[in-house]
Amino acid sequence: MSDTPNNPQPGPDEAFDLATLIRCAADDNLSMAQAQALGKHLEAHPEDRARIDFERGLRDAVSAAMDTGPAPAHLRQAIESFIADSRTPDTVGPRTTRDRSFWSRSFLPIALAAMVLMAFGVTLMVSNQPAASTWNTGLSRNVTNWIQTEHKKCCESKEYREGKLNVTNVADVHEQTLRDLGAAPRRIQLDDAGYTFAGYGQCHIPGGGPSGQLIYMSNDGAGKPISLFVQRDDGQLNDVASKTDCLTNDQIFIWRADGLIYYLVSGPKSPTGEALKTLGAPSKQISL
Amino acid sequence: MDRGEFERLALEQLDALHRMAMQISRRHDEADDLVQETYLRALKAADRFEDQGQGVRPWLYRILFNTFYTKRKRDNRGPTSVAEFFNEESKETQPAEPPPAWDLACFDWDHVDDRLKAAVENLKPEYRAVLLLWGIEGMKYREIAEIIQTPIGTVMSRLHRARKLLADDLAEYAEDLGVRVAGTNLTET
Repeated sequence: MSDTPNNPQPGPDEAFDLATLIRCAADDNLSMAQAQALGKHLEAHPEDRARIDFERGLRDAVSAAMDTGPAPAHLRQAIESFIADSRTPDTVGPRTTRDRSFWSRSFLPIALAAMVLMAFGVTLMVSNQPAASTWNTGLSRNVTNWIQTEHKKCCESKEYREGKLNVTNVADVHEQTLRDLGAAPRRIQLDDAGYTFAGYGQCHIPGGGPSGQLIYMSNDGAGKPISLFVQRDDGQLNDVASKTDCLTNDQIFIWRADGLIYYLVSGPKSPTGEALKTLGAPSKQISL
Repeated sequence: MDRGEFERLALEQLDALHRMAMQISRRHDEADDLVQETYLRALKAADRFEDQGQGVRPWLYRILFNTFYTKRKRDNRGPTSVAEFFNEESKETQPAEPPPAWDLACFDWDHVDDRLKAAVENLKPEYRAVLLLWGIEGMKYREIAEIIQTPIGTVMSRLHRARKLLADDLAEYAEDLGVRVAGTNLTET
């Protein structure tokens, strides 16, 4: 069975029953042939979109219900110590069996390394603490990781990228995003900023309302894409965060406007200043 | 990828690995040991790691599952390998019934946490693992298949069936709330 979008011809093991199509659609995991089949069904039965929404809601609910929170501090310290320890082989005693827990090694070097690391870590934390307004943004690392990973997949695989983009005519994007998200981005064209629209497709950013991805290719001949993810703003980010500021870690820029949350993602060397200006992002930036 | 970068990326996955370790072992002390052993093995094998576009996360998960099931075998508590556990003969097929088409404006997901948690805990372990890799870690079918060394078709069957079981469990709650099918009006019911 196909796992990623492919050519329009169905593969030998692909399923086309409604139940499978709906669940795969909710997972952004339809082949082109399956997407076409489901698209036709939904044209005749638009009420079945609610089934896709249910599956997406279920996924978010499972994530929320089963999240056990961060690893305990003692475990993190132990792993960090072990990593530091593994860089200095002279301080590590020989392991006699594979079953020997690393706690059974010489304790003192590990303890000393842990103390040094903790002191260093505290110093780093104090010096790098971001502004108070970003600590409680409501933005989870799950989201930023997902977005960066998805953007990276689109950069690395033309097939994957083109499989996602079911709207390639920029004139159709406004209406499609209104339909998908209940709101449309205020600006879609980035030609003045040096990027050409490549396409739009739905996606599913974890932990929030419906979302979509617009992809643009740079005009400088290098063809580097940037992604503009847009998600219905259901208040996932705390009000104090990003309403007037742009949160950034230099590769993702996040702000709220027009009933949407915008996430502009680029590679490390792709210029985004003009794109941010064109899209109307707040000029004040706060580091994530 | 240089060693420092690898260590940084591996450490970023600590919370996620611990989360999964807790889910499969169900014990704090065992989960801690499992995570430590995973990092030990990962760091030893770091020079053999090749990033194939998915980062270090699936690779670490694969080590985690291998470590867990190897220990189970050693303790005579289970099958010999991840592949054996997840590929035990099964007559599962994809569920024929599609998900419900509820009007989600009437359904508050925030109030079903405990119910969902209980339902997930009651799933068979092979269903639960696949569901959690999908639901919490956001993994695609292919990534899950590579981690648990199972064909994608089996992953999909188990995942879709697990989701149907959860939906069935929520159906009673939805009925109590009077949740309607989307697109219907009161006058039509």
